Amino acid sequence: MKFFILCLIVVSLILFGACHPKKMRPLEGQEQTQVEKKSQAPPPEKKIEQEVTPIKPLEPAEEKKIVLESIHFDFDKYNLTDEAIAILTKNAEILMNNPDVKITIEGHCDERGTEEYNLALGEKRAMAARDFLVRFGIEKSRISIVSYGEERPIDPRHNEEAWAKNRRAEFVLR
Amino acid sequence: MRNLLWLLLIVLVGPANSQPDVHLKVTKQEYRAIPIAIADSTGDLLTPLLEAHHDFLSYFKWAIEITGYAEIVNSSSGQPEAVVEIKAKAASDGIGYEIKLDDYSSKATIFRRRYTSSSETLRHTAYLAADDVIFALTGRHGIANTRIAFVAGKRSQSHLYVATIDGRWVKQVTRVPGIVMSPAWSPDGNLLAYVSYSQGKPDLYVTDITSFETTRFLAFEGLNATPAWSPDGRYLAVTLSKDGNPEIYVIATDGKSIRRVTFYSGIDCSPTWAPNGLELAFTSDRAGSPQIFVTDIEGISVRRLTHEGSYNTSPAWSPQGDLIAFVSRIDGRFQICTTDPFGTEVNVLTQAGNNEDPTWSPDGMHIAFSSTIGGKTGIYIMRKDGGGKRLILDSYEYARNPSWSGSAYSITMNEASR
Repeated sequence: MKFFILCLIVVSLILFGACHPKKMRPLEGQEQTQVEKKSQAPPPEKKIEQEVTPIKPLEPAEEKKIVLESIHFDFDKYNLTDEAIAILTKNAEILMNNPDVKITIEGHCDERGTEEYNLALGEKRAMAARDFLVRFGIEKSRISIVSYGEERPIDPRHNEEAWAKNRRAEFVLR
Repeated sequence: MRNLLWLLLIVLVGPANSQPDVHLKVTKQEYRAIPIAIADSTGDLLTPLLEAHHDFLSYFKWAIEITGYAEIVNSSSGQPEAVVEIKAKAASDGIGYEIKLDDYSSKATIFRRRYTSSSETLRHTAYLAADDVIFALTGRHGIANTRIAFVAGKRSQSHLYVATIDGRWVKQVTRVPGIVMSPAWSPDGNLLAYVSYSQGKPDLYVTDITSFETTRFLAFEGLNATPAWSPDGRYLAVTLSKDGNPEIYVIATDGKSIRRVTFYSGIDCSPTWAPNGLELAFTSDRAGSPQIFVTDIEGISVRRLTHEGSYNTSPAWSPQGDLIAFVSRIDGRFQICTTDPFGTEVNVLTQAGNNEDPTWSPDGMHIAFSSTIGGKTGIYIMRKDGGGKRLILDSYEYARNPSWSGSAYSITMNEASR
């Protein structure tokens, strides 16, 4: 019995550890690299860089162009899928590199099911996304959450394709 | 290793065996609408009294049929079991009525009463007379004189309304269109609690329906949702996520106390009070899928109520306490069901479309709900056995979230505003 429980603990630790990012990974993809350049470059270097390549001057306004991809959920679920974890990891890295950015995570559901339960489900989805980012190292104070339940579908149609799109958490810059 | 396998087997088989034997059944309607005929004599009535009388008749028939207890048939071909004789006569300030209910075959008189109606009280008098006839015929109360709060409009462009169930008296409660949901009447019928996003997130508001004064009652971080008044009106059970998770709390309406009732890391929401005020039914996913549970208001003793299917939500405890209505997903669609407070038998009351938001009539004999039966979302009422389904408030687009007022209501005082 004890052995069984021990096994369970070990297995779950391994599983949990596997999907939990322990440290920052190097940035991948063009979007992130761009963002990193903008925000991490210290002011003097920036100036030099500007002088060398004055084509795209860095302006605060441009920094707002950060795009955080939405994540999606299975029907009636609020656990993070592998795909959602991959997207969240990217989003976390972007937020890490843009420490001034604050976000609101919106939790949404598809139209099926009851409105009240979907309100709570949307809250849990937003919470799941927030908790991941906080575990990653993003300050909790930078993240607020709001559930819209099934009230704000992005696809108004009544089919599987639309439902899959609507079961989501969106990351909105504040 | 063998021991481990046995353990697994016990774990897997155990819960299935311990589940009570629950039977899901489509309700055989316990009640059938009694066919009645109307014999109408207008005597000396002339226009405009004659026109007023025709209005009276249509109000009267509507109030009879909306109950689902009786249907009006032709006296010659409809095989009536009872006849309502309506004698109208010009009176000094309106129309005098003598209304008599006879058994059709024995001709014995069951009920007889006189009414006087001015043009202002015409509808009220018609409803009163119809309710009297229904009571004489069935021993049950009519519902024409009751109110419903509901939400209508497209999602984030919605408004909250209160209306008589005939839809002839309506007041808009919210001023700015937005997301609004979950209206709940106080037991005295004066206050309406509801969820509104008017400050950008789900907060709980209370509007006094007599003065239309609105208070933002709860605005904790996160959800402030699914309000339900205690039967004595002193407490609101609500869902809050302020402590990191959607949980149920009981809050004194004077704001002096707050008590957490549920303690679970998943979803707990949609509380509804037992009429004795000692228990709450609510929705929780603690069993892996949303199911209905019952807890005492201290949160100590919790029992599971629903076992069939993987989606049971939105409990509504009947005013008599004998039944709990809820929404269940059956074959991929959402249906209104009832069960007793121990969940021993489930009755499925709707079969078509998607159905949500059950709410009980004041006497606990009817259920209002939102449904897509007619192709688009609207509010329907039915008897508690599932019979006599009728669309109400059909002039409102996307009407949903009905909440039936528990208190009786006099139409006369608002008759002028129709």
